[in-house]
Amino acid sequence: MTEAWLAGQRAAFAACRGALPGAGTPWVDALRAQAFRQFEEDGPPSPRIEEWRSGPTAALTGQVFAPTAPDGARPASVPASYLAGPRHRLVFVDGRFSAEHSDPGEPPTGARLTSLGTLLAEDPAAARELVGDPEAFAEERLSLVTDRRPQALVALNTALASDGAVLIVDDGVALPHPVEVVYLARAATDPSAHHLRTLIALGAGARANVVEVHAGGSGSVWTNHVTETALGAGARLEHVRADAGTRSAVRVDVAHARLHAGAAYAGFVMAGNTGAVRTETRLVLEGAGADGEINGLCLAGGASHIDALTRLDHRAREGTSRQLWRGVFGDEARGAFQGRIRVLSGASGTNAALDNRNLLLSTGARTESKPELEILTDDVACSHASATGQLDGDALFYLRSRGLSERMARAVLMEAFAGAVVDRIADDGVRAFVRRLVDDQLNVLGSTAS
Amino acid sequence: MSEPLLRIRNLRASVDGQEVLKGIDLAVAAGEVAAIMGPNGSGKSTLSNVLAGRDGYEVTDGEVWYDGRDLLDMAPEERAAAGVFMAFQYPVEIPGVVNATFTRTALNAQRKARGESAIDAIDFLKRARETLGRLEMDEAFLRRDVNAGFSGGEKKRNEIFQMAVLEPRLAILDETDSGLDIDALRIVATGVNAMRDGQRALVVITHYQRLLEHVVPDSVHVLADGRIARSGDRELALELERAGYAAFQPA
Repeated sequence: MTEAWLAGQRAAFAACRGALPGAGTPWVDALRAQAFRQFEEDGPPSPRIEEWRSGPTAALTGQVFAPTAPDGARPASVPASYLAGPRHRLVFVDGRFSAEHSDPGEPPTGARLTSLGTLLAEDPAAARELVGDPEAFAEERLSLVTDRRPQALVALNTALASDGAVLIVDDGVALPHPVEVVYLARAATDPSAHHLRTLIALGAGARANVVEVHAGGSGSVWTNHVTETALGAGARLEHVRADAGTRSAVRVDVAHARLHAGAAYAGFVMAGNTGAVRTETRLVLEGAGADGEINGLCLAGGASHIDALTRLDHRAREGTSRQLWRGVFGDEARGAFQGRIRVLSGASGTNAALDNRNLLLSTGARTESKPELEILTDDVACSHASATGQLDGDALFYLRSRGLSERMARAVLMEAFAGAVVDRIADDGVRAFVRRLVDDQLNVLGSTAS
Repeated sequence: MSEPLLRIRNLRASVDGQEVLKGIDLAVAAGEVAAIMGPNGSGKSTLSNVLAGRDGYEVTDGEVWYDGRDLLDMAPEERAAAGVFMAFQYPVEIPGVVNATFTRTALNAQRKARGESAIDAIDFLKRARETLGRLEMDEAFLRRDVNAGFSGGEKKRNEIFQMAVLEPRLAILDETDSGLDIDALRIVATGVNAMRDGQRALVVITHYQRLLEHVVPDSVHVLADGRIARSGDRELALELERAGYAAFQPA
């Protein structure tokens, strides 16, 4: 199967490379070619790779997902805006920017909001600046921060990325409204892959709030999404990545962020696909006093599988980080959380915490939790905790004794459990949106749970 | 004479295969305040748990009738909707659930089960604030998570607050006086006495007599070794206070 899968990816790359954004621009072609070679060297993810031990590798390689050429057809429907208030909206359909469905509004002077395809076509020099030296980029790493091979899917994404949102904000500029990016996949009949690349670069002291939402999909769709972020000194990004009821066979969602001195990244992940999800977040605190936060909710029912991985590297002194991850698993769902805090030598004064809690709603649901601390310096305060259990029977009885039905009581407790993570989202409008998504997902879980 | 609101007949119940209630007979009329007193291990908390419908208690014989219905056949939430309220000895902490939301959800769940209309947030707040005022409780109570980080006294007062808002027809107070200081005891007693309207029945389960100084019972029943060993009026409680439970302890 692996050979056939690899052969399928080779055929796909050969077929579509000439039509990908930036094709014909020498450095882009070279980057894509190198990335594809690296993908071939690394091979598809397998359980033999430690970071993929619990990943949805079978679902991923079970079908030869390949990029599809745009057929020009319009989607049957596009979700209405997820955020209630003013926002800048970019919509991508099947991996390509849709100007017709987007509403970018007018970002402030000094902020550039566009698509990767547009940027590579209109201003390849600016794109090259974002990527850095493409030679070094491909040899050393596949994105700004991936520090360990194999990262075959990031490599494949680099080779095949068809589009994605790009946000470049100059020093000192703050976006007053959030950016809503919608990645809509239509139902597919043949196995289809969408390789999406989001680029976010905030200059010193810049501020932005980006909400990336996945929607649609079907059992024949694989979405492979990489979001790369670079935060200048003192910049602040709030970054939400969420499933709005996606039905893809597999969704791989990887975020990489590099933080300079005093920068802050506040990330939130909501994974609730009905198929398989692999969600990775890798933060590197490169500058002193940077602050990284990655919170996540994994809500899975049916036969879905959610595999979450975090890598939070403290590379400079006085950095702070927090990770709060919670999972709710019902029916026959599978979950896994691998979270790591790594404090490198020189990162003294680090304060880092990681907390993972899981609720199992049924006897058929399973999850595993693997928090890791790797501390290579003194003078740090790091904590990690992990717990997996069921809904508290005493609390359920207490709620029922006050008149709540068993189902309501379970819903109230699940909502409280998940709400503690949602509450960490700073922006009122974004938090309200995520809470709705979470409530919807919990309703589905609650209706099937025993 | 009409049928009492609560009638317990020959109730036997076991916990982990061990018989704890060994044939309880008790009748509580509408409007009556009945005190159930007994030493530790006499079966007080088992009785309250069986009446509330907690899992893990096996009723092996007897029956409990509430307002003409078989109470033991009802789910905990059905008992609540029918007007039975249990003030727990150890109220559970529920972090992440706001007290006001929880209490309103409970009230509306009960109202819905009874075919009544829901109470909106504004009317509820008004009602809740009035109740808090009567109980000398701060409005901040409404915004806090249910019992989370509450002191023992605050938890008991929160039970009384819920009781006052939910307006049950039968309230069972399980050791509500334990762990209360004098002021909290007085406030709790005020809340309980405010519920006495000649229709509502109260069952006060307690080890000590002190709550009964403030909430004067119509009847007093001594629970010993899983049975009602003696019944009387208020004088019986005073007698127990003087002489203790020695006369009712197994030899």
